[in-house]
Amino acid sequence: MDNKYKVYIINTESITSNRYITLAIKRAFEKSPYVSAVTLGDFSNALGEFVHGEFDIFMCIGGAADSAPILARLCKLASISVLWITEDPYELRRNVAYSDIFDVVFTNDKMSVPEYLGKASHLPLAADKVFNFIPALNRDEDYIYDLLFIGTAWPNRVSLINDLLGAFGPTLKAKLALSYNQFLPVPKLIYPELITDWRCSNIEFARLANKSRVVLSIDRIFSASPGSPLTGSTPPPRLFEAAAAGGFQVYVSESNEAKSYFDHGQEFIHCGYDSAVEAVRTALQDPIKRIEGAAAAQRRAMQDHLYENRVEEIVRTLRQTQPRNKAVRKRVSSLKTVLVVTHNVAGSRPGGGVEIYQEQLKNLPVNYRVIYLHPVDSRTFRVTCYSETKDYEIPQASGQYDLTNRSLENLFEKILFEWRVDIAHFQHLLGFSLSLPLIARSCGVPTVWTYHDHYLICERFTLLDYEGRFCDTASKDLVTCDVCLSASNGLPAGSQARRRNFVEKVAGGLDAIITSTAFSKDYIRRIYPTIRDESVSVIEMLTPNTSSFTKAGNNPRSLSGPLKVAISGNFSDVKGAGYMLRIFNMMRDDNIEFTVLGRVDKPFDDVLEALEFKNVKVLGGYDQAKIADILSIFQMSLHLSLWPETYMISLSESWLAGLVPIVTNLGAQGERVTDQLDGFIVQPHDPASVVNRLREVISGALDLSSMRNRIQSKKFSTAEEHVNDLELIYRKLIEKKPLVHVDNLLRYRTYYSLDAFDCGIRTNSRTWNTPETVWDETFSSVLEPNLEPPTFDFPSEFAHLSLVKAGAGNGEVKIEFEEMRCDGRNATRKNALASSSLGLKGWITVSTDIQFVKRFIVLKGATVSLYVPASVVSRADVAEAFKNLDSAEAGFDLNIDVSYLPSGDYEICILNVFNGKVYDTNTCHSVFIEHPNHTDGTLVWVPGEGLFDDVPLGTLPFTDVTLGFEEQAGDIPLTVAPVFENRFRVVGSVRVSDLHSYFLYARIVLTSRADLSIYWTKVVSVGVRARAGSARDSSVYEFEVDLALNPLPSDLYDVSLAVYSREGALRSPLIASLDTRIGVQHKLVLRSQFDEYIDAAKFIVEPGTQLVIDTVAALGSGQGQSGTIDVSGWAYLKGVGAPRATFSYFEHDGLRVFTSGTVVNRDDVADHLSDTSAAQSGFRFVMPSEMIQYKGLNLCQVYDDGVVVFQGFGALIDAYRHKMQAMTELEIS
Amino acid sequence: MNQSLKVLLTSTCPDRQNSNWVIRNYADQGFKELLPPDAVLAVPFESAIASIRQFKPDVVLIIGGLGLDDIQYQPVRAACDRENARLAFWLHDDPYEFDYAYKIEALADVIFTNDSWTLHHYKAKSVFHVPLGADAKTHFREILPAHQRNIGAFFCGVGYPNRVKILMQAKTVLARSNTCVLGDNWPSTLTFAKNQRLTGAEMADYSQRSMITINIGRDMDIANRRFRLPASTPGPRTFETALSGSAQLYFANGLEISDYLEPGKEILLFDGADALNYHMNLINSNPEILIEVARAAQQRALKDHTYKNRAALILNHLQESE
Repeated sequence: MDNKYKVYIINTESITSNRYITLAIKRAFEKSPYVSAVTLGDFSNALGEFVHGEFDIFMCIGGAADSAPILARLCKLASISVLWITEDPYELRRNVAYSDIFDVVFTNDKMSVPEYLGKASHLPLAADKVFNFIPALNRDEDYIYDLLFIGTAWPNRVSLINDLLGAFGPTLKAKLALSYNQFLPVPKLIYPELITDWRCSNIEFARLANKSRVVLSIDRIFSASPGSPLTGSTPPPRLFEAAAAGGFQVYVSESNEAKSYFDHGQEFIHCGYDSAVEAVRTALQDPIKRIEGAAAAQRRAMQDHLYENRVEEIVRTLRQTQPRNKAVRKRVSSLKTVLVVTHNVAGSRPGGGVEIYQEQLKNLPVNYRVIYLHPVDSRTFRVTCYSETKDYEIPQASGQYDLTNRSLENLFEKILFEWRVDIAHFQHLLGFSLSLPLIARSCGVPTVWTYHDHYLICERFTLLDYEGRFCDTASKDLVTCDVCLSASNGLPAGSQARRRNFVEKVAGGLDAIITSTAFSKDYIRRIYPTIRDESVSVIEMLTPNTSSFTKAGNNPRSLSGPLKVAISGNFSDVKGAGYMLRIFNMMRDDNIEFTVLGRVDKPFDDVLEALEFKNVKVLGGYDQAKIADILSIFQMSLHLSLWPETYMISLSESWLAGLVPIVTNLGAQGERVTDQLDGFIVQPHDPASVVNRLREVISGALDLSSMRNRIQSKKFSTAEEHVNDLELIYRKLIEKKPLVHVDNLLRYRTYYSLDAFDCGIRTNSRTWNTPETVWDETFSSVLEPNLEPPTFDFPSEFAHLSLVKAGAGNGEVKIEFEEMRCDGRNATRKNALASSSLGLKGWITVSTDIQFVKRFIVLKGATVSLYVPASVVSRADVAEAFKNLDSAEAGFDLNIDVSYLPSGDYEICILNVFNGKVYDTNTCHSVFIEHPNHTDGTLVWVPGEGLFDDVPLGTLPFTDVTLGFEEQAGDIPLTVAPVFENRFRVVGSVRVSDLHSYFLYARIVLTSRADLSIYWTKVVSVGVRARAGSARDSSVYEFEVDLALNPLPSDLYDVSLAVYSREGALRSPLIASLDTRIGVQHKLVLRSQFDEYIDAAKFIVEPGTQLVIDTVAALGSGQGQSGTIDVSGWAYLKGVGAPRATFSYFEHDGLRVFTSGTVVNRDDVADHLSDTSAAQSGFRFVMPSEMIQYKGLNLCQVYDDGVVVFQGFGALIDAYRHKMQAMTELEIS
Repeated sequence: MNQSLKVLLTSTCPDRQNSNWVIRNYADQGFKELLPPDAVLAVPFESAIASIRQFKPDVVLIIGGLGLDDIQYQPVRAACDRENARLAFWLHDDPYEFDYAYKIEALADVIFTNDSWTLHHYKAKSVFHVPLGADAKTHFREILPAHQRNIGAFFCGVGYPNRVKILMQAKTVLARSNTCVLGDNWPSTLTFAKNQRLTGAEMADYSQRSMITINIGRDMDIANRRFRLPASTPGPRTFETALSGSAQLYFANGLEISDYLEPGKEILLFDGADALNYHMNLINSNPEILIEVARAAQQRALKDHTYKNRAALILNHLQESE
């Protein structure tokens, strides 16, 4: 048969007791004549395997919510994606929500089908021949048990079983398993001697069913549940499994659906609760009929209800489904984002070569966006994108010994998806857990590791042992490591082995490892032989600023002068500073001069000072760009590093400057230098050899000229060459692992929950420095205290409990929300608007005598509710205040990630679980959730459909809302201005009357001039405006946002603003136009309606006249507001009427860029000039300070009788600022 | 079976970290009964690599659990590759430590698991089920007549919660049956239980002197979070006790036991305290029934459940998977 399917199966649950179902489905696919290959994958590398194996069908079993982003990527790569939901109706709402990423959807529950609005078909679970089939017995005496029941001890089931036990008495040979947990009542049977707390495999269930005269199945029934509707109509797989095993079943259910699978009376007995005893009695009393029935049911199951039958149905549907075109599947975005994961970035903490190196990655071609992720502290991680930063906090601090860290792994997944990362390029994992590359791999993001030091081999990444010597660990056993780590870090034996075992899995999964020389490649492969040879590339490290070295070899020593020796790099222990001090000391009186160029670490700074070397100079740090000039006066350099360096850029710089180096015989430095040909090699820890060499040179016994000639011919990789090589690797990886960004595919944001365990790795402990093993029983609490993820459904373990509403005689409730934080800032009920996080702190007490079990904060929205487990905060003060010891557990304090919730109003209530009841406080607060898209400058522009669906434009009583653009004296104007060449900034404010609802959010709206198509993005308030000389005005909301243009089609757009409150929306007039068509793709030109005014300008006013600046103030101190200035003043040209509008502009590359301003009433100017028309001469601009940098920023006014251009606006502002600064400095002094 | 095969046996961790290293010796004995004695070598994990170099085996069989993260198997794999030997693991802590199986799935040529249900959940291809067994030398005891048995009911093992719960349920019955429970972690509320460890031979002595040995499987996971697999295959005590000559009362958390010992004839099943009570009464009312069960079980164990049988199974599977 042609065109057979290659099927890739994944189960959405990393933790499941029902794995056997997936195994059975896989087996069924293998038997299908329409299928040529089947692989059962997992989240460790599903995306990689799918592409590599050239699968076409993606078959997902379970529910889609937990790993929606990864699943969406798989769906996009597949020709047809299929979801078979196995958890309906228990997780119905979220299953429905996420099912739309699949082409074909099946649900296990028939009653749930309508909820999918036509998208899903019903496909019940089934039986498996291998696990379940055992020939049915044909003699009554061969049975062991009369009655078998295996299931969860829901109260209704226990009650019915007791009825049966009572009816048949102790002679009934019953085999019962009633599993329960802390949230279910302990099952109490009337015959307590029966052992019911045990579990068995699916195969053993089949054996027991086969040997039981009656196999009992009972639906679960719930009391009033606070969660979803929890009773489905389709029987569980046990019905089919028991039939396949040859068991005769009595099925107790309110639903009749089971009768459509088996014939009632012939193949099983279907009954209600009231007739269950009678049904069992009938079956036991008539063995002949019962045995016949069991055989008939088995035949039916083997004919109609095996997974093979279900797979036939799936394949039939597949053959009727139009597959997605391969080209479409592999289409990837042209803009690539490289996430550089590093321990530090330039401008943060003091650094070295890594920081310099990673800055060079910004030289990648323009279709690459380079962003950086680095730790700020153990809980805070920062993403830097161009000049913007975004900080993320995690609850579980990251430590130096972390193998895994679930909260950091979750965060990393979130960053990979939300920042649309195409390549994860690891420079270092200091400050992170070692597991992050596993997460990237799981997300399908290609991984690259640049080998800057030996961190993959040892936490002591220089490989210096506890005595400060190169340990050469690849030639030693791990006992040596144990001794070293015990002596140096106090670690227990086995620590290195635990770390290496883990890193082996991590490193083996990296797509590319880049080393600068062959030494590092060989060394790491000696430690980890499983690293594939082809995955390690040797690419010479770049040497920055190579073009500045133009005088190589032209710095010979003067005849009588000292030999000048440079000591590059930092003067530190690992760089051999201790030995260099000994060399300095030995050569105090030699004709030599040493210069320490780099930073001097402690204690060497003090030592150098104390020893008073006359022939040692200390530069102590230098501008890297000037290194060529600095080195030009030297003849030799020392590189006496004690560790095997991985490249040593300073050596390249010395050579480029024509210096003859002396290096230690270790690592890359020893590998790169050929002794006495292009430098000298000495053994580490041997200062005498260095002294001897230098004295030979000083005396002339050693002539350096031939070596200098050789050095002159050496070539080094420039930043451009290196980045080109790197880009080639990126390109190959992207081609090999095409990545589809899915944020526009998911209707709902998802909770990022991926961790190392999902990636297939389990470790004894979270860290490698402990020999402890965390057992299953303690796993969750030890690994991550209080970190259960929120759920969209009420947690099913409490679903059977009854719900008690507040105010029904069940105790008085007292609740206090002491603190509410929206996106990190304090909020009140009035302005509770959050986009990414909601913090709640407070307490709740109930005056009844309660035994507290669990507390949930619930956010109830129109389409979805979120149940967030809240840890208990001890509140002795509350207990004291209410004289109630139970109140000591009253506190809550939590931060909720709301970034994945749909926008809208949410009621907040609290559920307390205690004494077998769920106590609902009813609504006690509310918050509006609205997403401003990303705040990383890459806002996603949403096509205009539905722009005003939620709030019809123009229907609101919005008379009290003013947009800053309109002429309202005193308001901050709305301005649009370029920030970078491919981005622009919108700054504005909205005044809302206290009589009306608060401002919710605004949308920047772009309308295409070509076809009127609309794109929009959202903006939320960044704060309440404090106006000069007044208290904070809570009715004025200001906002500021930078918008990127990359995702927009090239076009000419009109820019306007729409403002939304709970009561409606208002759209501003045209603010400006945006031209993305011109020239290079990153060119931004803002046009405005004022363009024509410029062309028609009648009057040009020379700089310095009729234009006055009153104030220039820097606005805001928070993120996103730095660099914005507020400029006020007046300008006036007499004789052309009154000014009606004002704007500023400059010309750049022959194109005009505008900023709109506000006309301000200035009666004082009118008085001063004795001209009433001058009353409109005032202006106010809020603009990025970068605007001033452009030459020729002019101010323009539109008068009644013509347009006036005032030249030199920018220069005037600049001069004003300088003057103010000088005055300030004067005052200080 | 390939008689010229050279097999090197070792453990999954050094003996100082391994409370079950003795199983390596049992297996050694089993293989030596099938292969020429000089074709089988058992060594501790610490000396495995050196022994592979010197002994040049065809197969290296590593026996044990994978619960420790500080053990490296890659060097053993490399040593096998150098000597062109196949690397096999016989894992005896399934399913309790199944989450750790990833450590060796890509490394091993063949995996043997002690648990039949866990078998289905491996991703690797060459995986076979081989239960543990009994060692004739250590566990075999003559069948004593009833009057020479001074213990009514005997249980040896760790006091895992599921075991404690069952014994507590039958506490009254057991207390009057001269019951002896030995092992770690037993609560003081079980008056007949004592926190005392036994060697394999001591345990055999106790069983030999017991009318009935109670057999309750373990339900306590160390690393079985991913699939929460219930154990299916009876533990090694089942076979060891059979060899020691005691009738066993086996708690039936499944019927796989019937693949090894015939219920009613070679082993007795129980599902509740009442069944326990019934069988305890046999000690006085009809002890010969119990002696017959003990005798039948011993014969069956000698025939089918020694480490020689297991070694034969392993050799067959090795051949099959070549």
